[in-house]
Amino acid sequence: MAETATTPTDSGGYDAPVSAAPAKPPSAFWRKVRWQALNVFAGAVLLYLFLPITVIIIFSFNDPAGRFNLTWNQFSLDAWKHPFGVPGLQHAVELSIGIALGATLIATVLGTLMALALVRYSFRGRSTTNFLVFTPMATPEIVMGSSLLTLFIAQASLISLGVWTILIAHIMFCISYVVVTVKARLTGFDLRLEEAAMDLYANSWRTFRRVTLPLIMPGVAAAAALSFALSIDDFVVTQFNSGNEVTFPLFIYGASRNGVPVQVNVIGSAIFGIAVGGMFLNLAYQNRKARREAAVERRMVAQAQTAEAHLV
Amino acid sequence: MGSKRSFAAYPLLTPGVGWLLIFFFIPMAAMFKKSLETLHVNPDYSQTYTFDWNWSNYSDALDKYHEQFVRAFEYAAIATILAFVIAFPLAYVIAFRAGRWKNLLLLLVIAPFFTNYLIRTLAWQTILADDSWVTRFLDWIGFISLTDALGWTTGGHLLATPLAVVSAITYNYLAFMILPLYVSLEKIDGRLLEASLDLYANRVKAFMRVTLPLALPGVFAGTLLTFIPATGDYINAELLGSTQTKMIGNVIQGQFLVFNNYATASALSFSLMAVVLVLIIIYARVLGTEDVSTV
Amino acid sequence: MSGKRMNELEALALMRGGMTRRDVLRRFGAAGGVLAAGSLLAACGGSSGSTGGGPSSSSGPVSIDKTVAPNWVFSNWPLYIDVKNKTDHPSLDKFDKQFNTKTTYQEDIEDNESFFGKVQAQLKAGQDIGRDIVTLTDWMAAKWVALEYCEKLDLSLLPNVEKNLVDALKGRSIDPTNDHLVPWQSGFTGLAYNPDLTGFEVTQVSDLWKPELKGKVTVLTEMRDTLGLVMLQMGIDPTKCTPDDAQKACDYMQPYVDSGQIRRFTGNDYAADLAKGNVYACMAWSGDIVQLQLDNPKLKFVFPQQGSMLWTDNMMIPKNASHPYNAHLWMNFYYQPEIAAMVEDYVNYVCPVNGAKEVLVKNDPSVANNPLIFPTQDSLDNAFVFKALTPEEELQFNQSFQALQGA
Repeated sequence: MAETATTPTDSGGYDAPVSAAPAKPPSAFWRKVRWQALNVFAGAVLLYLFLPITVIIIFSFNDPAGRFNLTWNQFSLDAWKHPFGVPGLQHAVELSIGIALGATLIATVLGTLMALALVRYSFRGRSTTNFLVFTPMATPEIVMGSSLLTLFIAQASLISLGVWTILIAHIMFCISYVVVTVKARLTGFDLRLEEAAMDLYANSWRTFRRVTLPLIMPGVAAAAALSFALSIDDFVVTQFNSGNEVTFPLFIYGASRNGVPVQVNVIGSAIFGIAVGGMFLNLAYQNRKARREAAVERRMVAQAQTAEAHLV
Repeated sequence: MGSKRSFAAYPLLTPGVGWLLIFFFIPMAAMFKKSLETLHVNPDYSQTYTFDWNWSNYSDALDKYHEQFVRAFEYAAIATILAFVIAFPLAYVIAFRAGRWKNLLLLLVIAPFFTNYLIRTLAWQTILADDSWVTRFLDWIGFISLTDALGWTTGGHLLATPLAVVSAITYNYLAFMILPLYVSLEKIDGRLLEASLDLYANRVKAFMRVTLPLALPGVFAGTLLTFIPATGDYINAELLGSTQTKMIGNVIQGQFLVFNNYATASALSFSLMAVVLVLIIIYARVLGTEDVSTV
Repeated sequence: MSGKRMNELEALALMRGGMTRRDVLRRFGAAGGVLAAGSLLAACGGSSGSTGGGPSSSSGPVSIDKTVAPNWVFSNWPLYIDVKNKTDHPSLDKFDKQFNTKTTYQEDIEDNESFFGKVQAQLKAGQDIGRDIVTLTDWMAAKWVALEYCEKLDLSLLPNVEKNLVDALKGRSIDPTNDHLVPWQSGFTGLAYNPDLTGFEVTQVSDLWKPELKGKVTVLTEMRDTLGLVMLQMGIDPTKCTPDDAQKACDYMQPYVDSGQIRRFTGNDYAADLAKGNVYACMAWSGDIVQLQLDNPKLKFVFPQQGSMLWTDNMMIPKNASHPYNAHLWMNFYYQPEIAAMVEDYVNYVCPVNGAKEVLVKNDPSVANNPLIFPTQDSLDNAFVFKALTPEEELQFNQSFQALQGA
């Protein structure tokens, strides 16, 4: 007698009709193994992703025997207590953060405007613009960096390599990412909300400020965060266009020959911690918001039901 | 997408498009022009450039550095394939099996890439050092003898070998493979899978005929976003490789920043860009420019 | 210690006259062991002849405003000056105090070529590169002199230099009018190794090819150093080598590159590998090893039996620097034996200032007896300056060497 067995697997669905018990335990076992194997592999990948990070954090607590922080010597909190104890490091970090803030601000504004245009309007050259936006994202950094360098050298009378050229370069490669991120958020936007606001006598600017902007803010914020991360970490484009200035990544590169100081691990771990912490908080906040909204919804449904019950 | 008064778009676009034109496309043109100039090194070591449609810059440069060029594409291709093999199962698990842990897992996937690229790569110097646990373990199980025989490593060490460079490239671009894969896997409507199983497909068939094809946009995006930057990468080769693992990126960097052979360097850089552009155009054709940026 | 050294001594005119080491010693007398490192460089002394790139600075002496500027910038290689508490430089502090100024000391020269690349555009445009002194190796210094990228010095402000510069470094042909460059330190290229790891004493270049060192050996990307040492091993004179000789040296090394005997070609990043134990023996620069020995006393530096290479780093004032007077003051200040000795105590390369050794012997006899800092006459006799190459030769040498590296 054929029985369709539905074992508790994800898309278990139909198994071919199986006769009687004896065959089942091994095949169920193997199915379990295969099922778990995928999870185990995924877990292994996660561990692999974190391997260098773990090394970085651990070695930030090292007190190396010499200049090179390559072998574990002994535990020490010195580097954490004096994170800027190495000359030039503080300036480099400050420069990186300053440029990241500036680039994020400008790129987010420019990119958001472009995204709004691309999503809401049809105009001639729309697909060209899309192409224009996508190309920098897919260009190898070395090509972007070297071509900008060529431009700056050719225009050496107008501008010399330094903070401004770094800033210009960073804005350039951040814009595309901002556009793409905000676009994704905008495509789901319900224009009727704006129309409703306009019907209620709001002018364009007020509508934008009170309706549109708050609604796209999460997308814009995500784009800004992405832009900041890209800028603060950038090495290749910066190396080509920095002249004599030294950002944090450039500092690390310069130090890598003679021994990277432990403080670099400290700052790296700190940035990592802050970023991950921020994302966790955001995640928790989203969760709570979702739960609260769900709770509100449930209450409203319950109220509606009781109201119905009364009517009936 | 609303189609409002189409001219209102232009003022919104102008600043951003202007910036990209001036600081992305014009530099490309400037670089192209530079690549056609001839460098004269005068007896007193000063340099002058004259623009004279010197196409031989390209032939000379490619002739001299074709090995590194090919090697860059080779390493990038291997790294992309490896990244796919590693990333796909993880993306699959997060998309289909994670349930309410999805966002947390995604966060864990992205988190490592919030450390600085250079520090991450330098960490691999420690992990793959000759006397590290990893190296000693791999040596003990005979893995390194195998790779020596295959030519992926030399001399029984992991650092300063192609293996180290390729695996570091794979690692550093893994996020660019995982995320697009996840996004398109996540979009797959579970009911489609159920339907296929209802129609007597077994799980493997369901995967090959339903899941994989629907995930294709993600596969393309991930492949492109991994492969293309990897071709121009030079940091992994510099920090973890040797002179025999030099990629075209190392050559371009050296020519620009150390030797200041701007004509040759521009020719190389532009050649790389040309190949990349061709790939992008093919990709855009296949998927359409809208989807290109909203995978 | 220190950053990458592009130690090519084939400064533009070093061996123009085709002088050999012997000629040099005859001319300057093989004086006992003091800082005659430069005696080899004496080859430059008085040699004539020209091969491309003759001296071209014809501007008159710079008339500088002789007021001390409140601050100025000194660019140098890493770890090339005395250090206390990781960030203080006592010699600079003393200078600042005496002249009531503030020195900004930047260790931003990692490599001659890449530093030149960084500032070349500005120099060409006649702009101030933001530094009042830079320190570059002979052959690069020669380029700057030829290109007029460095200022003519006002010798009346440098009496100490006149007085205390070792004879051997006077009148070099890379600085024919003797008023652009002031030597900072000299150094040797030889072999470094960790005897615990190698298991034997390394004494010559061919020891690097022993099978037990496979994959644990590095050589330098610096063409003049690597080829120089190999030529000496093969019995070729690097002071007179031809492109054919260069090719022969490359052919000799090719099998070791192919088989993986040579792990890789390094700049001064051999230091990390040596410290970590990834590398057991390598070609190295003397001062680096003195510094590494502080961390790991087991490391050794040897002058290869067949001979080692020798080079000098020079201070110069970039064109249109904003504080040339301070720069002159520092150069003069450094050439006092006590100050030079202060720096020498840390830097541990070869000092060009007469009298510094005597000061050090009193304060730190261990340094004074270190053969890497105060080389014996034997090491000096057996150290060579790479031939000055014409641009065409340089191209050919580089091509062979690049092909060798498989780069």
